Amino acid sequence: MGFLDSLIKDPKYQQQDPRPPEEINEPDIIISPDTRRENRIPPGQSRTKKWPVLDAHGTPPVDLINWKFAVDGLVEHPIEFSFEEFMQLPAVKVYADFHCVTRWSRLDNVWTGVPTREIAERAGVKPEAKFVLALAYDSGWTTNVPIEYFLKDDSLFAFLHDGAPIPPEHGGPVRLIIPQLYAWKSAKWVKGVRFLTEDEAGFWEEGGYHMRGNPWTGGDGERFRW
Amino acid sequence: MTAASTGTLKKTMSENYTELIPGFPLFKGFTANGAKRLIDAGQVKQHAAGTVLLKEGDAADFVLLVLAGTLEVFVDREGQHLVLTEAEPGDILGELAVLCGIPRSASVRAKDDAAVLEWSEDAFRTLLLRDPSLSQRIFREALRTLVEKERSLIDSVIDAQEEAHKSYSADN
Repeated sequence: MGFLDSLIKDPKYQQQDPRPPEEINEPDIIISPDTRRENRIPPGQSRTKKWPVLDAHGTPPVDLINWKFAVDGLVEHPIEFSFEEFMQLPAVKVYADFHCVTRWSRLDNVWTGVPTREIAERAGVKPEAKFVLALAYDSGWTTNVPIEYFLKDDSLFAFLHDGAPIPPEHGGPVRLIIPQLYAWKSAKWVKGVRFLTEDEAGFWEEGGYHMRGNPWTGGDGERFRW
Repeated sequence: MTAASTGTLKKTMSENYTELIPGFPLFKGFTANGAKRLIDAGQVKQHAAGTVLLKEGDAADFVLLVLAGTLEVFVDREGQHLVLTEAEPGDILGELAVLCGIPRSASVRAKDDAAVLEWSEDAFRTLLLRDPSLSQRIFREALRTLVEKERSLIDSVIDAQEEAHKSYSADN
């Protein structure tokens, strides 16, 4: 099998143009607002039909028996979910584009998972919480997100991508998805969230990456702090 | 070079460098924790004035970030000691030979007492592969240096030609 064959037959390789959001015929699906833009590709980005894999430490082993998801920090009730408990939570579908700071954008993704708001409400997030630190299973990896982006309608803890379980290299079993920010904010292998008053730099942010990371702001997006 | 003059610094010294590194243009935007990760990926070493850190022709299996002191980049040719450039804190040395898999193209020695962060080839490649922003900055800097060297080489070739032309005209 040639290289091209293996590429075209990759189930994650997109064969078609991205669908306009009004053509998504799924009841109750949440449409990420950025998919309604006339030009869906942010400044300095190009479309990829593939789904490249990037990470800080490689794919960590995550086993579902011991999987835990913890919510702590500025909350009334810190919570810990087992995988089974997490899967019982109400789920939604989100239609969104995905923009990587390394300049590729994967358009037309359907994510299924637990809305971030659901988690915030269950934990009773205190009003003084202004930032969220997402924690992941790979060697203490973290990323920081302003709470208003974390709580957007289209932000969720996803376990399905286009109807199939998210592959481990793409962050499964559960991945935070924040479509309105660059994709590194969408923590792979997420194991919990911490609500904070003060912003706290996560892993890449400690290396000069942007504290907010909005792809649509400024001439070239909020990529770095330099 | 004595055993005492070269060695891994104590942790307390490494901690001071975590505050220094974000001040280097290449690492702008890094926090102290980000800088600590860079240090943890390698080894901080101190070298007394005169120590040779890299030798022209040697196999290249590590990269240096200058933390303190001044280093001299030089080649010895036909008994002549040619200083190509000087490296200051914040400069990276030896990265091209490592990336291209070629022997060291020049030697480097400490002009005064110096401290460097030494990354193994593996550690350096991992830094670049994982962090596209850092790798962009390092490549940009390395290529800029190379282009500048090429420009000065062209200038000296032209100068030499003019000299040769002058002496040729004088001969006639």
